[in-house]
Amino acid sequence: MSYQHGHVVSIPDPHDTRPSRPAIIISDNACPDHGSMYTVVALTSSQQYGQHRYAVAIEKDEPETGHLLKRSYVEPWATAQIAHEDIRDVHARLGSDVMKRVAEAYATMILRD
Amino acid sequence: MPRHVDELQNGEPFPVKPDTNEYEALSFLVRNREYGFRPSEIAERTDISKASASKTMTRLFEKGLVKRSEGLYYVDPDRTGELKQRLDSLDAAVQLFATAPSDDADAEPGWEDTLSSITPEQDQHHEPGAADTDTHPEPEATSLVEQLTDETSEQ
Repeated sequence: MSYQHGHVVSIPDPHDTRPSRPAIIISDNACPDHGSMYTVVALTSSQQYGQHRYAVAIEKDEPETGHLLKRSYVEPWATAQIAHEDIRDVHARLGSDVMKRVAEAYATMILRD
Repeated sequence: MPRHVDELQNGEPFPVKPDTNEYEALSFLVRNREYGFRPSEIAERTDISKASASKTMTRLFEKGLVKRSEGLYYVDPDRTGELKQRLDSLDAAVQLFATAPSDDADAEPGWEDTLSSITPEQDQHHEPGAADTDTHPEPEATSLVEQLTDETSEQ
């Protein structure tokens, strides 16, 4: 299956030494190469990262489909372009309400003087 | 049961690991896509030793990632875009792990297996492309920016 905007996916460690990292797909098919490349933003359950100003908290049961491992935080400062084949699985899909909070964090980060 | 071709093509890990001779040689050939090189010439231009260059190139050739003609190795011009994407993705994933916080609970091995994956059936109310193309978030984005900029200027 192809991945879609709002999907919470797992990305395996290329070195195979650490467990996968969760991330959210934030690109859609209006982006070039959508389907072969996806823009993702990292997700973490690190309390320490959750303290950062632009971090966005998502509750475990908040996704519209599926759920998260535990309360997690979006790291808007950590985005990456990942190839389709480097994504392992889809675990949840976030609804537009959560995606709006992510958008707000990005807008706040970018607009900050 | 018939399965969609996208699903069958899914999850083929890139057969080259980061920080290896194969990775370095392939990156070199993608960067210099207009030329073919002998293993010794690749060794001269990279950190790969002359002793391991031939073996490295043979492995890349056997994995179908490079072409060979008259002892010269090169990348298939039709595949350079794809190979560059894969190498870029590998670099991006390495970076994602390099910046991962240390107190991450997701860092428990096997978390992705305990968290069940959602199937296309569960996700079907979200038709592919529906939210991607039919919505027009531009006005909302504009008003969000206006709202945030107003707040910023008031501070």
